[in-house]
Amino acid sequence: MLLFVVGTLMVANAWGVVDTKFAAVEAAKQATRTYVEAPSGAVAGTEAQLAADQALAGYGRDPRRAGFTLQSGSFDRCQRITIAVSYPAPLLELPFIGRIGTGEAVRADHSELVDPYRSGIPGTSSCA
Amino acid sequence: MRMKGDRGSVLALVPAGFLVLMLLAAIAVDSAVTYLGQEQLHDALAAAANDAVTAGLDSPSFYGSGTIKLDPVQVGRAVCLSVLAQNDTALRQVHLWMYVHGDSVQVQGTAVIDGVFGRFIPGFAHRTVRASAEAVVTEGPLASTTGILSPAAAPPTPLDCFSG
Repeated sequence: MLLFVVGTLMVANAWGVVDTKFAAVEAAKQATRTYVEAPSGAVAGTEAQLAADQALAGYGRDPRRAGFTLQSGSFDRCQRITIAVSYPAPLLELPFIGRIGTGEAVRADHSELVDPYRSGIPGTSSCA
Repeated sequence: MRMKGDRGSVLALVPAGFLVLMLLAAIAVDSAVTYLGQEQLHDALAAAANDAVTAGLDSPSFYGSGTIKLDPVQVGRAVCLSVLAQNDTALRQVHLWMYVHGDSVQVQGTAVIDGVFGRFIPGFAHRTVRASAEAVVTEGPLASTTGILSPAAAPPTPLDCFSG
């Protein structure tokens, strides 16, 4: 019986971490894509944060608990933008009961280039 | 109706049933981890193809005559830099191939994913996932009906991004 209980808790914890990782990966991807496609540098950060929040909300997570970091890059041609999103995984995730407790934070990174030939940014491409 | 000789067999059946349940749950978690790994590989390849199709453009041709011409060396470099920048620690033994075909770049890859519970069962420790992504360079907004891209005629070029 003890083996069953401990095994179930381990599986429930692992499932919670994996499920949170799915949400974090999607949020980081959407945020980075939104950043590099933004119309200007002034709104890129805000729009990226909004995209991450919406992705997390789509996975049933509370965006206020997420960490959002622009790891590198700025809004210029050929700049590599890397955005990290972290979210605390639940201690357990069980069917019908939901998420219980708070475990370790799960983090996902995504990285893309700002299009070297895009419009809306002065200058010419220097990376290619 | 219960036979007299069946008494006590529940003591063996219940733990065996629990073990089967645990095994199924472990398989479910490992399958989800594999799917997550495949999605991460696909995201990395999609970002790499998207980066490479613009960073790999021949700049003098584009600014000089407006010609869209992809430089395979630049494309390969851009793919490697992009995949390395993703920092996906869950993906091991990543192998990449690329096709440069006219104005499109196709990147294919395989990676090995470690199981969470499968690592304790011989033969189930790793799973190999594969993914591919393609990007086409266009001027202006991409039309919504682009159709299916033609298959690349040339053989794929293997990329050695992880040596050194």
